[in-house]
Amino acid sequence: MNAVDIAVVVTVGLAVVGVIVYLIYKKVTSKGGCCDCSECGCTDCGKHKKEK
Amino acid sequence: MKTFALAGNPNCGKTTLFNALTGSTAHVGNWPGVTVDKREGIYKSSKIKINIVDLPGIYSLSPYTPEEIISRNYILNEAPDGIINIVDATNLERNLYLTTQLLEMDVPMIVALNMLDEVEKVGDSIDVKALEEKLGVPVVAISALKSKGIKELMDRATALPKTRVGYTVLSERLKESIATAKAFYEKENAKSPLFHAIKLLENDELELACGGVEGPLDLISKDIDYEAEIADGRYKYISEKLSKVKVKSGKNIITKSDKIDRVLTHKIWAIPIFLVILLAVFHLTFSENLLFLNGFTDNQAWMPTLVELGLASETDGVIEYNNFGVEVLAALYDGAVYSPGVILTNFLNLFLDHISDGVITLMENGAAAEWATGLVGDGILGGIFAVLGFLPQILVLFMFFSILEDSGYMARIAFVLDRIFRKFGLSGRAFMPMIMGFGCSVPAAINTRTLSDEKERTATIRVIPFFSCGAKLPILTAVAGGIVTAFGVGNADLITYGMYLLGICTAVLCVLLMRNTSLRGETPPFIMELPSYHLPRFKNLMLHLWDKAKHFVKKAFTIIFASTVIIWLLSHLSWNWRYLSDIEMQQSILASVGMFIQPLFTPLGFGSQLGKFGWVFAVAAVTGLVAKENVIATFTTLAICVGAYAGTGTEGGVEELAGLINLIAVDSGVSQAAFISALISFIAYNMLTVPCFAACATAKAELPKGKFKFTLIFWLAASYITAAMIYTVGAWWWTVFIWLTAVSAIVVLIVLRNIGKFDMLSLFSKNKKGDKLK
Repeated sequence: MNAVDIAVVVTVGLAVVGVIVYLIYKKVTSKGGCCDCSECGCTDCGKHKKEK
Repeated sequence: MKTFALAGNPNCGKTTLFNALTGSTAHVGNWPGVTVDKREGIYKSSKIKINIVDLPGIYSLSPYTPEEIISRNYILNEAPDGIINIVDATNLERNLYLTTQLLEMDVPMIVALNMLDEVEKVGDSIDVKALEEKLGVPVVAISALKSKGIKELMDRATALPKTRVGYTVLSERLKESIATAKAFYEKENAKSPLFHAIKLLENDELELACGGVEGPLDLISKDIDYEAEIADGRYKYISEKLSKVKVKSGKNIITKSDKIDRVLTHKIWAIPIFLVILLAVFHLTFSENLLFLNGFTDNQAWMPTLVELGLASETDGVIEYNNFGVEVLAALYDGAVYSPGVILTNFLNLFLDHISDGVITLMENGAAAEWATGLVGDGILGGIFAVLGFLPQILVLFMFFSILEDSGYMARIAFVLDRIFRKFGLSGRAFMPMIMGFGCSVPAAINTRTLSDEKERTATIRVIPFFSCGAKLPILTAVAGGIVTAFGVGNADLITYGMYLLGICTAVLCVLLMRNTSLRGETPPFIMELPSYHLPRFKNLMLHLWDKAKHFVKKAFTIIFASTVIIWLLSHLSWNWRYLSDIEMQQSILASVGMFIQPLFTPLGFGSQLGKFGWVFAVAAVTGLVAKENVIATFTTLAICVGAYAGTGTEGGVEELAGLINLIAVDSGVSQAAFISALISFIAYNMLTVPCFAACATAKAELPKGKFKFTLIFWLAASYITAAMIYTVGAWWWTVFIWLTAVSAIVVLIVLRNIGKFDMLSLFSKNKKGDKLK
């Protein structure tokens, strides 16, 4: 393995671990349903409101 | 910090006013039920911060619906500094009913008379000052949509006195009874004793539940029907005193909305017009032959391709453009003019392809190992960019649906469809969450809270996933595009439109089945007001699209990213953890698992009959359970590897899938008709099967207890049977008679059961002694 290969392994590995930790964190702290999605722009849970 | 609550009827403009005050990006729709719970925001345009609470739309403060209970309890228990009662000037009498109830509370109040400009458009007028004198509270004319009068409203709201004593508009006949009940509440030191007293006389459930009210109830007259008198008293006051402030012009003005409605809600033409509008939406999003300028079939094509014009060359099916300028031109035109959705997708793919090529070139120049280049190029970038490539079409489709919704047209369609829906056991109100399902199943399932009937709600939640959400769009588009590219048949937009219609038809048939078997019941009435048509707000629309784009990109770089890495690793590692190159992929862990589950999909056409590469379909269908976008990411990642394995090599996107399709067709020897049917069946299966985990979790939360397990089975069965039907009829046309026979038999059994003649389930029930019936 050369430096580029090592950089790929480290970067991808850290990214995957980070994503999995983030997804688990979201799952654990979620209220469920709409508030975790924000896809539709709904602000019912108050998490996604934008202030002037 | 002061707090003001916005209270008013549904569709009076509360949420629009809330957005104007707080700058929030709350979703604004044109029918009741969009806001189900209260929301808060900060109004910062005054010297002091003011907290604004948007209460759900209610017609009265009686506890008939959860929304009414929420609003009432908030005002009584949280004691806001003031109520801003939004009154729709175009429906004055109905809106003022709630106003007369709010006046009975000891809470400072101001009335915001909204949509006065709509009243003046038809030549009528409202004397705002006279209304203010009669109500005894400030009245400010506003236009929430155009943000007019907002500052004056909030200036007068903040200047309201700190306390107010409620009064009632009810007649002298009830005065004594009200006074008796009020004395009781004053003794109990209750807030707003007048309001509680009148509610008690109405036999209000919440008041009676408080207990200890037997005393005042014994003292009041029993000769009066208080509920009827009170309601009658309010309406009499409104019609005799308050409605005089409205001066009608006397002209019978037909508004623009009325003229448009004569066409769009026509008794016969409303549904065909709706279907044409939907077709237009899909055409502008997916078509590679805009307005069919290049003819309807290949034989009619007259526009030259870039290769024919000498601007590009074609070698072994791969097109090479002469220069970057031609590449850009190819995004707009190549043998036909592309639709806006396709043009935007092509531009994005052009950009992403250059990034991908650049990264791979950098890595190759850095002497990176083959596996590293494969992981980054084919796995990560291939998978993520394949999904991201569909973002423009998703946004264009979402934009069109938002325009139809915000303009007021969808509300009309719900009204028109009510007559048809009723035959299937649903009301038109169920149409609204279904339409939301075209965006995402999660808010659509939550929106079913507006359906009061539990069985109707259960049936609606179960069929919402059949309305293809944005995440399923890449599957439809990619596979449809793959069919057109690989076999040269059909139009991608028509196939996509057809699959959307399939989802709708499947939903309707499943509802019909459920409402005649396990979820039988009366269809509840549907009452809805139709707001005037208006142009959607550009800013709201853009904010919506921005939120959707952000969410999609975030999903691509989290779930899709992790999935593509895992899929690439499993497709390049053997069971003893040895790295496998692309040509050894058939020995990988993923290939073994895929081949193991492949026979499950044989009845659907994309199982064992697709030969040694068919397992890719099986794996893609399974990865779609995590996120539907994963299906295409999986296809792309594996297709590149399969292409390398077979020595064909492919470009990105739909061409990749087309390359995989061609390869499988040659390798397995399956007929074109059978393979096209299998591909359509694959789309149908993924469209109708168990939705993503988020949608499942929401459905489980919204369904009555114990219904979710059967719902999972229902989704699997509906998708499996529909896909099997499509494949078998497509591959062997005569099987349509077998399916018709089976469906007819089921229908007959249901009808017999419903009329009490025969119940097949009784064959499996036990007799009194516990023995099975022979």
